[in-house]
Amino acid sequence: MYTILICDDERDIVSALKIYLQAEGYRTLSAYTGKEALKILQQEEVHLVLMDIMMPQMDGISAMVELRERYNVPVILLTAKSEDSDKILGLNVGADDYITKPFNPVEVLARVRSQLRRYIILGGKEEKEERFRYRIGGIELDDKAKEVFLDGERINLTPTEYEILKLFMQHPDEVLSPKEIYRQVWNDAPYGAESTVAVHIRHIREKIEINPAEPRYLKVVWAQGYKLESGRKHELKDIDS
Amino acid sequence: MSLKTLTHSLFAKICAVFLLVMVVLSTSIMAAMIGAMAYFGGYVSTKAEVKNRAVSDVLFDYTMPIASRAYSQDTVGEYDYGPRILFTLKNGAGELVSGNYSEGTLPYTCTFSFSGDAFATEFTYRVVLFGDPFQNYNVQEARTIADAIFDYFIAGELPEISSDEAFGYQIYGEDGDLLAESNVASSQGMTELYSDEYLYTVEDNDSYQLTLYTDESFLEYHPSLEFGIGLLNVAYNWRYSAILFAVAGVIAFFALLVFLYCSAGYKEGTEEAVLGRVDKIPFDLYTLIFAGIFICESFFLQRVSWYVGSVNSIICFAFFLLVDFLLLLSYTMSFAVRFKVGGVLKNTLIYKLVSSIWRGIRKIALRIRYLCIRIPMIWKTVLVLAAFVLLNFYVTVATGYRELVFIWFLECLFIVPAVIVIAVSLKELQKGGLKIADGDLNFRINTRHMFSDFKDFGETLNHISSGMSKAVEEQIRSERLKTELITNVSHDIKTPLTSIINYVDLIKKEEPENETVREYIGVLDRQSERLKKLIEDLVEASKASTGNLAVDMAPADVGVLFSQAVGEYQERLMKNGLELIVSESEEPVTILADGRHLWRVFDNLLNNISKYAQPQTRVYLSLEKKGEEAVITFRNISKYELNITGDELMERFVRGDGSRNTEGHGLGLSIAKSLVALQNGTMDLVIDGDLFKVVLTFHCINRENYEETYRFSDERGEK
Repeated sequence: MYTILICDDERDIVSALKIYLQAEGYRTLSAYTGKEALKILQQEEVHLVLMDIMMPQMDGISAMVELRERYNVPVILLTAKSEDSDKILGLNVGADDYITKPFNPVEVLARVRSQLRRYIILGGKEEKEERFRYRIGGIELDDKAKEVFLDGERINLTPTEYEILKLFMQHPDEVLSPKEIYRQVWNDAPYGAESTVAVHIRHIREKIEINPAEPRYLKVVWAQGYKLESGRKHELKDIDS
Repeated sequence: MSLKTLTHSLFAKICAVFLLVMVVLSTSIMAAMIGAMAYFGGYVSTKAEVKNRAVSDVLFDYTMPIASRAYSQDTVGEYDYGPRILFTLKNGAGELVSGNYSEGTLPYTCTFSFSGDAFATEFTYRVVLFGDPFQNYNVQEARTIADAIFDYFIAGELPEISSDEAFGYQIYGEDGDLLAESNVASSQGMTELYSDEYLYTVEDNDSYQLTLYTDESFLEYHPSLEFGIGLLNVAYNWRYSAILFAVAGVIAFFALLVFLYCSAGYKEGTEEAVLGRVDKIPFDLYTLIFAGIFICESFFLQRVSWYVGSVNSIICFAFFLLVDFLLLLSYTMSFAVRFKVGGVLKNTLIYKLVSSIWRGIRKIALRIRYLCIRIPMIWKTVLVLAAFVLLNFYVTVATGYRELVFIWFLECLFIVPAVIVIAVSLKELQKGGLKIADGDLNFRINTRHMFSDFKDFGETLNHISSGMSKAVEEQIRSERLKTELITNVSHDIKTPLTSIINYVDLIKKEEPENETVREYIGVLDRQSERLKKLIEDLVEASKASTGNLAVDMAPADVGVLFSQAVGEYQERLMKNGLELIVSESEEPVTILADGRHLWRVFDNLLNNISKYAQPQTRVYLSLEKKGEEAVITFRNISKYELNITGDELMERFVRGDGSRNTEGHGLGLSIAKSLVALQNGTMDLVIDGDLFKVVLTFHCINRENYEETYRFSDERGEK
């Protein structure tokens, strides 16, 4: 049983999240300020933290900074701010994911599950460099078995979707235009068939992303193409922009 | 055939030139006939008289030699000069002096009157004076004596010198014949004392009249005259028609000339007059070429000896006349074309030379002006001041008054610092003014070292800039406050909304048995979702309309965006019974835009379409390249009746259906419009019945060019 610390100054939100998480079988702890959260972290073994940014006494960002000095625990930020700059700031101080308010409970549960799996199951694993194995974030592609795993869970892709994803895994953080993708995957001249690629990519996104409207991995670079973000260059890039 | 086809036809022009040449030739022949008739009196006399006049014209050549011989009483034979010519010479009183003609046998006559003086004869005599050498005569006395003796001799009285005298004389004629002598033989031992030549002219004031007579043999002797008389006969026969023809010829000449000048420059297929190859030669050079040709020709004609009567020379003359005429014609026609097209003076070497010199001067002047402007104001002032002071010094020294040098010194002491201080103050003010104009409202002019008026002015400028900066700050602050307010309020709304959404969801999970409760929960669920969307869009709308949004412009491939839009929306539209039809332009179209914002525009528009388009219709998405513009059009058939204009529909919180019971809140189009404007595009909305059309227009860019300049500026930026 995993312990999850919920930290928000809004008691109603804390109790709502408690209900959802307990229903999923997690043990929950609650804190209403950043200070309280840090105190609980000292006393209890916590596997994941859900933390609001705007809190009295100590806000989520400063709590994050202190927390990261001692703990390795995954943190998901809950924020009412939807501006990109807030998300980037949160990720830069060490958060693993963020969820914007008002959130959908199903999405929160999915993200919690994903973070826990990576932290507990995959986190300790030695990363083996294998020729036929690609790994980006929580996505793992085994080219021999022709299988794809998301946070350790096998997902079903059609052969075309598999080929497209493989192309992206081979070229992480590169913008690939629909034409290029078509040429590589279909081995054919892309004459007016680019929208096929777009449809397939949307399908892949629906399978590998928790919220396909706000993808973490397979991002749309509008009017240019698509890109699989590894997260490795994340910080550098965002500081640039 | 209209006049235009005539003036534009090359054939007509060639014909006109040919006709013109013919007219000139025939008219000049007519003119020659008329002239000859006028000269020989063809209009007042009979043909025979004309012939007689013509013959006597030639016969006149013989008058001088015959007159000379007749006057000096030499005998002149009938055939002495070739043809048979007889003559009579009469003096002023009508008496026959000499002649071999008896009345009424020969038909052609020629009369020549002259004065006897013309043939006055001169005689030269030599007078030799002899005398006793032992008597002393001086030359003066000898000459006096000789003169006296000659005078007597001319008077016809030969003076007899008595043998007592100590001198004698001899007179010799022209041929050396001894004409008279006296006291030479008797005076033995006399020697020649003096000898001189004397000229004597026989005067004749009488007038004479020589008349020559000849017959047909004269004509035979002069074949050209015979030919000329033949021509004259023709001319006589035509003498009245010639006038008619000449007048007609002159009229035709001018008519053809007018036609040629009018049609010059027009060609088949041109509306306006066009410069030909020749007409492009600078006009002065062109004129010079023609002048050169005429000068060369006149030199050539001077070298040739002309014999008027000769047929060859007439042909030669006619040829030159024709060539000259054609040259003149082409010259004047070229002038006509130039005049019509305009710029006769501009297309001259002189004009070009002058204008290029003028341009050069202008360029230099501009350079100097540029330099003057670039020289800082203070340096300008110092330069001018230094020149002024030095000039003053020079003048004062030149006048030589010591007192003036003192005044000059005072001038330097007071005026120079004053001028420099003024210049420095002005410079300061200028700098401040420029800063304000550039929008640097925080700049303050330092007025501490300025005097009275300058100080006032500087402070006024400072007031202006501080007032303006206050106003600008105020505006920026209010804009920011507005956006901040909306953002903050939305944050504060989001937190309770989160609770609402979550607890509604939890109640849903409780699965209440009451049907009504379930229905109410459904409403809560729907409306809370709507509220969530509204808040997000509200923030975005406020940011987009105030421009409080980061715009990252980059080349965007509209074709790629189209395929991405299809990928995102096709299935959703199909689910709503809509068929999406995309038509792209042949060539790839690249615009400068922020891909994310551009997608947001597409997203809003396609979302609208999926919500408000009539099911079972087609939705058209098309891209066209119109010149430098990329035009993106969304077209669909509205589900609801649209009683509203496109512009109204783009206002915030306005919805086409007029009711507020469906999903949506009327911010989508407003956001799209603001975002398009942020990316330097335009968005137009056209409503035509149920046809709903959105037209986005962006400027196209040339991707390669853009990347080049982009890279270039990047590299420069790094340096």
